[in-house]
Amino acid sequence: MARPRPAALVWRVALHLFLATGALLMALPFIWMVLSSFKDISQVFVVPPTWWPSPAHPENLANAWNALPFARAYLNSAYITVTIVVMQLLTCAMAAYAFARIRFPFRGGLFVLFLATLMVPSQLTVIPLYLIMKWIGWLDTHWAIIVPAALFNAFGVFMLRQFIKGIPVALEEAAIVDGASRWTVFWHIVLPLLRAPLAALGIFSFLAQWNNFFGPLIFLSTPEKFTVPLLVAQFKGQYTTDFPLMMAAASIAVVPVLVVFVLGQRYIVEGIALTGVTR
Amino acid sequence: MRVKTPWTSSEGRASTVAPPTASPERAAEGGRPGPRASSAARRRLGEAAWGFAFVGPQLVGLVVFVLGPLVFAIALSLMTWDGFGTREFVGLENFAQQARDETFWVSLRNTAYFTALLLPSDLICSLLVALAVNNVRGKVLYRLFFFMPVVTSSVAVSVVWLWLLNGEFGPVNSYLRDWFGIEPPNWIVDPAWVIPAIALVSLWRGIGFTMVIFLAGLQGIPRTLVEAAEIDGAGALRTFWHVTLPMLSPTILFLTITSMIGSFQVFDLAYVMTNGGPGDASRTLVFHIYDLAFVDFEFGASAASAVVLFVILLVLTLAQLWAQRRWVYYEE
Amino acid sequence: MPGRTNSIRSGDVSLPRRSFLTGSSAVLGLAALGALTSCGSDGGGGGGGKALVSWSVWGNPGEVKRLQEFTDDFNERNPGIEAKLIPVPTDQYETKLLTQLGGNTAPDVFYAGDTLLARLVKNNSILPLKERLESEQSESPPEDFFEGLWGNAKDPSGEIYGVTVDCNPVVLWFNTKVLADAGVTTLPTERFEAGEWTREAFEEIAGKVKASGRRVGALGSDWMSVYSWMTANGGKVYENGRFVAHEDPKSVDAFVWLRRMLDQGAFVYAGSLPEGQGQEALFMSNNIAFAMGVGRWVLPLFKQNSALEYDIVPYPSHDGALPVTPVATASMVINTKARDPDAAFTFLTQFVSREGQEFRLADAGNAVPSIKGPDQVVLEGGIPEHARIWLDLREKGYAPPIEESRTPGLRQEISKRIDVVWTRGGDARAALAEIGAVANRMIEKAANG
Repeated sequence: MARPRPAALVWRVALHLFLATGALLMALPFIWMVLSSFKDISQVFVVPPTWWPSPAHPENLANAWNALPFARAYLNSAYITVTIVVMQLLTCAMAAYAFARIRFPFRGGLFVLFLATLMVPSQLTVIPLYLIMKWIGWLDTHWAIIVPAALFNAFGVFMLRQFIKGIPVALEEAAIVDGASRWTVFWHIVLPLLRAPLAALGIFSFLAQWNNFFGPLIFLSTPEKFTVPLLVAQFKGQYTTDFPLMMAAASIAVVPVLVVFVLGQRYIVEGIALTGVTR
Repeated sequence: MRVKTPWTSSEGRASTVAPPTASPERAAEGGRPGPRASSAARRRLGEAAWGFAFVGPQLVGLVVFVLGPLVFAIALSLMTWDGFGTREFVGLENFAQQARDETFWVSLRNTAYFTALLLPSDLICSLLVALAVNNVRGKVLYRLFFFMPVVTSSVAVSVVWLWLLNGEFGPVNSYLRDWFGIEPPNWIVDPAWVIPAIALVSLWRGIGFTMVIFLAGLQGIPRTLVEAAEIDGAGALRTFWHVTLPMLSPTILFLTITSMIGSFQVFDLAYVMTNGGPGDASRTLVFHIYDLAFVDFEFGASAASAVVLFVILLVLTLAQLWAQRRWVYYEE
Repeated sequence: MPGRTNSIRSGDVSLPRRSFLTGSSAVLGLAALGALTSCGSDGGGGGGGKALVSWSVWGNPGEVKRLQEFTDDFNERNPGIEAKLIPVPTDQYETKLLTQLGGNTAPDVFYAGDTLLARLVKNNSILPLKERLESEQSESPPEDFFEGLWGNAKDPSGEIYGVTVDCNPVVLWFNTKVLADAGVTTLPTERFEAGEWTREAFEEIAGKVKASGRRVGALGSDWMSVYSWMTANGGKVYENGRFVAHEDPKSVDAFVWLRRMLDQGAFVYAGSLPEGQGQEALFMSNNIAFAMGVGRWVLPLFKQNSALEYDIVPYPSHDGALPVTPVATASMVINTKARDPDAAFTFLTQFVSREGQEFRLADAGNAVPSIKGPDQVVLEGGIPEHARIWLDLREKGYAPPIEESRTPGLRQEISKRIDVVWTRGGDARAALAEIGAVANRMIEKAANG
């Protein structure tokens, strides 16, 4: 390869500058959130806000952890979220495949119905959903949180459908000719090609479910069953907010999501590309 | 094929239309003429069975947990209810009342304004960032940073941004005054600027999210296409316009629809940062819906507003789905 | 690019599939485990024969901890009853409670804000308490409470539906350092004790603070921030079920004065600051002289800042005497569908009794007792110096106006409109007149509906 021309170099530097400034702006509140967990209240309440805590109070993290049953909540959040994400990836991919590739009656109308569910704000559906859960007997259990999410995600179905439609049909049709069943085609041919969108959906799903606050708030009453966002929200009090503790708790709560993101985004980089396979 | 791609030769493109003999239906056709009709019908039945089997789990979730509450919410729009008392059927009275209600129209206008600001800027900026991050060293770190706003707690976001945009103490205005010499507006306090301010924060928050989806979409673009374009002498811009964009169009459609639905339902930031204020300047439709239900105890009116929102979104989405024939490129 | 492969042969596919299968079976196994354990911790509730009382409250962990201690102590003292505390995040308290009420699973005893309480009374969702409160079993007879603090919990016929658990009279906190820097030699408390704490005295101090380059205070648009100035000036806000502030010259005068203070830059608009730490932040960083419309709840916060010097003074009044100012309150109510109303009442009465309030408010205390008696919880420690003022303000203070409790959305509507006046300026008098008209329309509609 030839030496990069000066113009290309300028372009590269400019790009880095643009991205670095953007990245800093993006990270600012996050950094503030983490740093604030080390402050005491008098340092948090300053105008203009200070950045560096002095003196630092690392015990805030321990205090936040102990102020509420976080260990239990972490366990709850962890298994609930992972269960939902795995189930969602599977059921969304299946439904998306059906909408994208299989002809069945009412397909179009059903798809629009799926989309329609995105259009009603959850504030209104909370009370009837509560009644349904009561009727089933799932109030104050984790089932009320896991099952509806595991079995339904219109956003995920829509997204995967678009990606599947972008895959050349020839790949599948060749296999069908060879006598493969729909499931085999789905599992062996289509799914592997969906690495990148599945990773993306996995990340978003994890994020949404980990941070899911409304469901646990409404359905759970026993503190031992609470999830992490519910505990973090409790730092806001009747009169005052336990600010540094709240930020400490929020910072701790964020770690799993970042880990999942770092792991998941690898697949978005190295997802298998589609190329001309019938050649 | 609806989109012109000058560099697509029969070698560059994966052949998407299989030769006729590969089709199972046709293969059967070449055989006995007699039971052809019933075997085709059986195949259709088989296909339908497969279809419902695949959609099955999500269908169960839809019917049991979503449809019921949805129907209830729509039915509620025809009644009055304070949340725990008795329900009374009032027909279309709630809709008439909302039509007369000034705050409903203000909420609608604010929401439409917000969406008009956010949607295009989100798509464009995220795409630019996705492209930039894709082609630079240290991409993992950059992606992580750009994703951070998505995971930062809403409280932290509102505190930092309220300070940043504070007319008196905030740095944004100080810089605008010192470096540009203009008198900047008092962002959160000025009714004319509060919606753009919230849109700005939403944009800041949304870029990381949309960027990830675009990155996934960019991965799906065949390398051979891009290479073919380069071989044929196309520059970066033309490759982008004639290869990248069309291949991204399914993703773009998805993002347009879901982002539109999402921005029409903006609530979080309006609630935490400005509480709908000053006055009603940042009152959004979902804020209005929430307010009617949980503050005014008027669930019927709240449901009516939600139905209006629903219809608007449905119409806009259907329009987009209909229009996709014109610009979205699927490989089939 | 390295790592990209063109092949989709099965060799490539099997690895992800295998890890997917092992991954998902591990997860499902974990899920089953989790489901089993959550089922386990769920069963039983109270042990054999005990009356069960579930109760709900909002609050941060610090506040809740104290309440949990009370609950444990209660369970010990009352062996036949098992009380269980369910803390709910403050912001979503009413949403959750409404959902539970809609599903008939609300707790036996709970805190209720004034508008919710009005609704609950209307729907017969909570028990009338007067008889029980006056009975032998009661440890909290109604006459032990301050008359003005009942608010909506006591209806015109005298029936009582909720008991005020504690209260928080609003005062002006002043930053001694900021005042000293401004060259103020006579402290507001000294003026007050001399009977000279009027608005003119306040303006005098305000002028000096402003001249020294700082702001006097941050003005909000909520009822406690605004009505306080009106009633301290001798005016009325509501009378006989109507909004009258726009017709009462003293109230109008106070309102116009507030607008003027904003215009002059003495007051800064509090609405643009993050909720819950706007004023406090400015106060603690010595940027403003007065924290206004704030009660005792910030004391734990201010105490932590050792460099901060402060004290409290009531609002300046038209005659220099103790003013009539708002008091923040919260009520405890009993669910009509309580499993054991007697046990629930035992809990309630012990919660709001002298001993109960003393237990809850001692040491860390961030509120003021609503019952006559345990004054020392406010006075002990001597911080702030003039804490006595809180005790005195209870006599003349008023809980949230019942007109606002009975008209859902009214308080928010008024606050919204005041917001507009504070931010856009214009004719304050005319704006107030419009607020009055709108308010009275809403009140009428709610009364008829």
